[in-house]
Amino acid sequence: MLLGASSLLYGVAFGGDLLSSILYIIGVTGRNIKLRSGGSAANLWTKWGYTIAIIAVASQFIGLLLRWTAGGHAPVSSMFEYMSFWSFTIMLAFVLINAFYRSPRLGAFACPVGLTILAYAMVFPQEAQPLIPALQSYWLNIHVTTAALGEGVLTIGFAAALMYLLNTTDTSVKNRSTRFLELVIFLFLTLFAYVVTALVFKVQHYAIDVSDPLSQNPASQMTYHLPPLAGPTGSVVGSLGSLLGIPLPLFPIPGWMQGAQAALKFNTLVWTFLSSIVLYGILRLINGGKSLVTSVSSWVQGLDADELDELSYRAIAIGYPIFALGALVFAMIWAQEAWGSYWSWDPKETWALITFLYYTLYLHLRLSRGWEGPKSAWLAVIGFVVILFLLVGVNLVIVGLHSYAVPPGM
Amino acid sequence: MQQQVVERSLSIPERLWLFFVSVKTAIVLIALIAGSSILGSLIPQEGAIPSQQPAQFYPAAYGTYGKIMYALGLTHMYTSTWFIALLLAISVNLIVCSWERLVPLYKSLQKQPTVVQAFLLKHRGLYTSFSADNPSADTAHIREQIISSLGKRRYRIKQEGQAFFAEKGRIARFGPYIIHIGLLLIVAGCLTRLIPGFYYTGDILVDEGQTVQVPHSDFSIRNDQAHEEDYTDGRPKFYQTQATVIYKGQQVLHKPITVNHPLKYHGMILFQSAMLPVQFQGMDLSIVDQQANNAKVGSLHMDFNDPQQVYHVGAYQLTVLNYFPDFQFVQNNQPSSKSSTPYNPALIFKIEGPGITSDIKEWFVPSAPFLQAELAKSQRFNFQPDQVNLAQTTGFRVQKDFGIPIVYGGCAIVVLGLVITFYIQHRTLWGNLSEGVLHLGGQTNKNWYGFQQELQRVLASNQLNQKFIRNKGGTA
Repeated sequence: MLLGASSLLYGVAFGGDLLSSILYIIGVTGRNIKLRSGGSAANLWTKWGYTIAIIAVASQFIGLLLRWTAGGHAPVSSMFEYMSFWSFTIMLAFVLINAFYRSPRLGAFACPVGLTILAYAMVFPQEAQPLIPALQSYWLNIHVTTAALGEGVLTIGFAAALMYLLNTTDTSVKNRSTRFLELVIFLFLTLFAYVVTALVFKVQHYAIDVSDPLSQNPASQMTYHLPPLAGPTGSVVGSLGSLLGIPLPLFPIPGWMQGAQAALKFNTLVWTFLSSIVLYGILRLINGGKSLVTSVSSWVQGLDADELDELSYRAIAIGYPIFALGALVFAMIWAQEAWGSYWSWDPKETWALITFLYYTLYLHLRLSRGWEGPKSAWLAVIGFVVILFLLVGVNLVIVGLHSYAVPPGM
Repeated sequence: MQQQVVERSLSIPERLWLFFVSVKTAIVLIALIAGSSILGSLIPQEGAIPSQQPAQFYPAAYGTYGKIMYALGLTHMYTSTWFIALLLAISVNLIVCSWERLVPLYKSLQKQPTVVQAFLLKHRGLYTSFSADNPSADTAHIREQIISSLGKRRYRIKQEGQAFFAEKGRIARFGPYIIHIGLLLIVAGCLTRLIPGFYYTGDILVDEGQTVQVPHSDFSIRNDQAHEEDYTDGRPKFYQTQATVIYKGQQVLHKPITVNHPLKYHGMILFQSAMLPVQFQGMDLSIVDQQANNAKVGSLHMDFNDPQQVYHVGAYQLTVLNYFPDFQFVQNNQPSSKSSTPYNPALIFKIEGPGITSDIKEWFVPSAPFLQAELAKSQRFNFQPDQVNLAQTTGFRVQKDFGIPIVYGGCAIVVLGLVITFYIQHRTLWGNLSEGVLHLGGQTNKNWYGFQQELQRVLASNQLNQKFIRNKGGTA
């Protein structure tokens, strides 16, 4: 009952994030549309975008309270729960910061990020699983929620920094700066394309068991949730059927790719790469062949660059202490209680430290060495990549004490 | 004379001081520590490899790179000499940097002037003025109003003649140094491990019913009962060990130890860290002769951790030909043992005695009663368990760390420092009424937007709607 209602509210939040993203993007792209009353349509769109964003945040908040009640612990213990909670903190941070700074165009960047992270969460299994002994502690609630809140606020710092760069870079000139900005947009589209592809096949409950032809061990069998374009080493082309006339697998992975489920991981990469190329190509065609950065940068024209710079820095200055408290101090106390050592250089805690050190560098460079403007903004943009690696990369690439967070089949 | 002083080459301590006092050095050191940590998280560390011989493992697994990694200490990154050296260097940097800046900062904040000339106020980060040209403006009255409003907003106000100086949140300027002191305390807390007797960590295994002396302590721990529950999908749900602390022969404490709820006694902390599968401890068994209408031949006690070579049962003699504590069949149906722990014991007896002419070899597999029943069909003697002692074994992490309170104290100070640094703003406003014009110049260390809002509110509360102008990069 509670879980059903909770899923419904998460769904409402997803719809809300989507709708507010669309409203904000139309709001900032269609600023020339005039209303009959004479006012700018843009204000109306972004006003509604903000209202919907608030509804999405409220809905997800109630949804996660219900899931908390049903499960008896904060819903932050699986990849689905954690990623959706992070999305919640991003949207919450946006709603609060916008209330204070009144920067509606921030929504055109923050909401799509929140939406994509929530959609990414939905790729993972959504069952509420009871906790293993190590996680049965009230520190789970305190540590993970505080850390996620810090990460949410830092993400707003990233969005504002990106806006600053788009605002200050002359995108009609091709130089290193515009190429890197185009790359940032492409990488965001990559994440977006992966999420869409994975969700398309998830909705169809796509699953295919593939066994490793070179291994007798039944444990080497893998379950693909995306059609196996890349099969295990030694598999025969076309042996797994076909998709729209393409034989599956299209090719076996080369023998030097080893490691647990290498074929599965590589297949996911191939799909992500292909779908992001397709998505990017389509958007570029719509854009008349011009690089996307030329259009996206027009969303932020007319904004005060210094204010964006200040906004990005403020968000990082607010998020940094929360992150330090949640991801390091609370983590240390819990680690001491659960593992008998407040610090054991487990990959997750090492990366939390790396993230902290990274933003420490940002602050020292900005406050002591006068790195304001573009340099500082680029650091804030890269900071988002560091956080992404901390939250996703570590789980998928490195295995540690936190490895319970590795979802099956990834 | 002066020329000489300038040209004198710097002594080594002076050079070191200059090196460590620089923020640039701090930035490089932080970057190096972060970079090494990234490497350490990507390269499998020595504790996490499936081998006890890292010197052989790394070259075998990664070739030349493996050799280099091992030689440079990248395979035990966080205990490598140069990583420790980096941590020590950043600590020295924190001390020197803070010392060099803290005192001048304190002095300059003490010496802030109350009277600032009007032409200087115009260059403050926020500036506005009220002039007497406007007939409705009684600038002296406005000055009083603003001072009173600032006072209500907890500004400390100093006045001198027609000038005033309002200030709040001065402590924010000291925030970074509070953070640095906290960080140094954390480092000091970690370093206490080097003091003999301050730190110990180890693991002990305690079978149910067993009492084990806790290493580096004056007490023993008895495992009264170990309890494990799993979820239906096989994931662990609950681990608990009922433990008794025995000190000087007295039972002084009974306590359940679960994950996340360790036992603390005499400075030692015992954590529930592992639960080993159930193993066979001992067994009383009867031997019956199936050819003599299941007549009982006799009984014996077997200790699976230390079986005898020969058992005498009634008139018969049982010789243990082979013992597999953790029995399994491998290729070609060859029996072997997976481990040396009696999880799944199996024995082969040679039985000799009255009426036995040719050797009898019989299997005894107590953990597999169905297999035993099957075997009994072709075996003359049968083994019937009378009493079985099974035991679960708890793995305890034993830890003593007197540095923990220092580390936690350091953490608390760091968090306090972060809050002071980032959530409190040092805001200053100077006012000077000269030649009938009231000049107001404000300065803050961050969040100009918030400061401007506050000043605008101060004016608004006195029905003034003058706007403050923001001078980018205003001077203090």
